[in-house]
Amino acid sequence: MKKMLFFGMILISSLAQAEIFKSRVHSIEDGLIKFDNGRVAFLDLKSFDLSPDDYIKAEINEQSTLLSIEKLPTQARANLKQLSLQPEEVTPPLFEPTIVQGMDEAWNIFNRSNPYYKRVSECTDRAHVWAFDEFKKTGTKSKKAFVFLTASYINSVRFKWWFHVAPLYTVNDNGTIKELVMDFRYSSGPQTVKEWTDQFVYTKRPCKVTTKFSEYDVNPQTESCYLIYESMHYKVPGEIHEQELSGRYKTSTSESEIKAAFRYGFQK
Amino acid sequence: MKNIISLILLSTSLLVSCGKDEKSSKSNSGVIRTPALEEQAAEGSYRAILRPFNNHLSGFLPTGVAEIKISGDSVQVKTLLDDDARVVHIQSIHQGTACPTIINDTNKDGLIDIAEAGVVSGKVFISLDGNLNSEEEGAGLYPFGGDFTYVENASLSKFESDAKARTGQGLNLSGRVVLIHGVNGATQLPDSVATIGTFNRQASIPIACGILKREL
Repeated sequence: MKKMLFFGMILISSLAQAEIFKSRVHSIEDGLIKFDNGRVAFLDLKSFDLSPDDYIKAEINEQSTLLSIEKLPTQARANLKQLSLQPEEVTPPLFEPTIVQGMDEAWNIFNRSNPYYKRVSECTDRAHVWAFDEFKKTGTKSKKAFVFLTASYINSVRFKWWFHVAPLYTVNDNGTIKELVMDFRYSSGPQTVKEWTDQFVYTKRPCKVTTKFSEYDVNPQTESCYLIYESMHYKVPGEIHEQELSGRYKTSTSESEIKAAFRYGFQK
Repeated sequence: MKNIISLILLSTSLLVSCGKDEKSSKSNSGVIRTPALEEQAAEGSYRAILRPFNNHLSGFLPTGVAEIKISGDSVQVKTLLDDDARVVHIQSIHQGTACPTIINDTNKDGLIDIAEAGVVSGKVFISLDGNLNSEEEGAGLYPFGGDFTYVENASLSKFESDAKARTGQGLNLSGRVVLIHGVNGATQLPDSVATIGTFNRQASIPIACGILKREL
């Protein structure tokens, strides 16, 4: 009999433990960098000459400490105005989500979610494809739930992401209207928004609901997290930001956008 | 050690009834539906989405996939996990048909330890270790790393006979539970967190779970 060995033994070891990714810098605050792809890197070891909007190749270790950067040629993106603490009030266009009739149908939607997402994929792509797959199959219109974690919370638990998004469905459960998140990668079924955010907010402190990205982005970070509900057409936080700054709302999604999300996020 | 794990999880699994109907196992958010168990393993592919629990032990939510392909007398088991804890990850297929949820935290310490998980996920059906062809060979050898890919091949007949010897049941994979364990050794855990055998508590605490479904 082979001698039983336990925890010293390595069956399969991944030699490269540093994570390397390319992303634009969203913001730098309180000793951490938030990237457009949702990741966070901590500035524990040294500071770097970085500014928001820099497009970089970042190397981080398993504690998400930033080890090195390589600045890459800046990619074009929509011109955003400077954030204002008191953004202009605009009237949003009407978006009416479909009322899903009953929990059985809610479960059907959840179980129809494409399970073949790529191992390395972003929540924005997954949520977009799940929402539009369902829309194409059944005509059901959904919303998106964006949760934004504040720097104070991220620092307190060394959380690795600063935002997350998933499809949000409006469900008529025996006469009670519920809003349920369908986050197929992280949850085993439809969840209330609070159940969903509790997965990321370990203190289980409720997230403050807002309609303005600036409230999260600019305020003194007294909250643990913020929630923004948008229509299914919104894919990334930058679009919510853009809406607030310019008053331009996203009311449709192109087929090419869905195809790109599928290509980046899914195997099949 | 395979026997130690099995025996302890057997003792915990005796506390609950088997043969749950489709809606009998509830998560904190609703019902987890599992397919009915098949009589025999059938040729084809089985897949489980591994989802996180006990995820507030680190700032990361481990996720992964378990895939089992059966063709003729060969079985290939592949597991992928994306985690940030560079530790050995014990992994196994369990006899139960539901993943643990927070309602299985019977000592109310906010964590589901291996004993609490065993109550709902059942005893070990097959250890996904260093040698799937043997009960003894490869025992205790598990994947290491934050992100890992584990691939092992086995003879279906040996794979089946091990499962039968351990549980008295045939190799009915659809609906079975896959559990993966292990957090960083420096992770602070309350004294109430139970472990089994010689495993330390950080090594044995479950972190991800999924239910095998037959692929069409």
